[in-house]
Amino acid sequence: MSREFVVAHVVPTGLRASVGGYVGDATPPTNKMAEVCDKVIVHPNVVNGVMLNCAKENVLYVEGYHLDRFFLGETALREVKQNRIGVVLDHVDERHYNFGVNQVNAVKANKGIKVTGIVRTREKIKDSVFRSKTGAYIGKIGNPEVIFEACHALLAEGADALCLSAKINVSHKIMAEYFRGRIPNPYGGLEAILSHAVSKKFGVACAHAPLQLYSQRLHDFGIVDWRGAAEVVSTAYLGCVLQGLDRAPRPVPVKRAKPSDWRIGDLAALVCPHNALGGIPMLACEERGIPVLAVKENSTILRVTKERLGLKNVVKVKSYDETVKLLKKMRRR
Amino acid sequence: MHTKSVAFSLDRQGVTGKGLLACIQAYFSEHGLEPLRFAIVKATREKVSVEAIVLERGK
Repeated sequence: MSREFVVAHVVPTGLRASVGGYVGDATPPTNKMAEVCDKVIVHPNVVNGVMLNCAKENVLYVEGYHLDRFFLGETALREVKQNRIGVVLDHVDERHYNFGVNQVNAVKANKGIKVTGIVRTREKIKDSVFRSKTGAYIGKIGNPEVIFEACHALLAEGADALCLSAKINVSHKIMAEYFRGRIPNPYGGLEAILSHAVSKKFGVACAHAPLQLYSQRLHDFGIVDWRGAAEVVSTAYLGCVLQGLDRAPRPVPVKRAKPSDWRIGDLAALVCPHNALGGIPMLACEERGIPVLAVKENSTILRVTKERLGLKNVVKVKSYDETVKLLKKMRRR
Repeated sequence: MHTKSVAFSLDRQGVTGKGLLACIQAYFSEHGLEPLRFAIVKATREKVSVEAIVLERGK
């Protein structure tokens, strides 16, 4: 039996979600939920806003692979006071490396995060992005072993959480389309793959941020879609991830969980876009009879709805405001 | 070692809601695949289409 009111907010990556499909734009509704819940569990892309991470203190930052395992009942989440973070930077030129180190130091200076070390991969991470048949952006990594080696070194030095940063090449033309709101975020899918691979291999808290230099060309985009504005005022993506990892809960195999750790049985509800209900969290909630609040205000490029899947546990809500009212009611029961 | 994108369709055979997850997991098991992530991206009355990313050992 749960002692606190815990919900999860999931916005699948790479699907042009109208809320959360950009950078950190799902943070305001997440924070509204956090005002009426004891905990809100999210994956990093829900609240990552380039240099900004404005999530409230009771929002728990959990990498997507671990979040899936949480929903499958395999992983519990252990809250911590602070993590020791190891940073993996892609093997690119000196200017990128220096920019990465400066970002780490900026967050250290302002937030007091603990960084055990920064390791560069021994060769460039071979990453590429492409569009699937459904129009979602996904990616591929050709040499994950170079990331694993760097992670291994950092964990051996005492890191309990890993911040990964690869230079991802996306054309200016594609970025312009994204900033106009016409296509999904083109690199979020690849980022998810990078962090999932590390999560699966090492079982520690981790998250990814692109290693992109500030470019004068950002000014070429003019005034962009407001949801993506954080990306044209800064490319210091490591900022949001380091802030998130600072107190990210540690994933623990459920067999080794303590009573104070969070398990799927503690979850009161899952909140997500209304037409992207085919992911592990939503399907697992259906199996367990946990209510899924499908928000109509949050729409994606998919049409995987309650009706099309025949899901019984889905409650359709119009908006995030309505979601918050419903969560308040559920809490009182 | 590298990641690979996998897409497949499954006959629903009347399975709706509960049971879908088990069907998809059974597919991965039968094909010896360990997905990093997967999701249903399209659904009709007859079938579901799934996209997944798996880790593949070296070639």
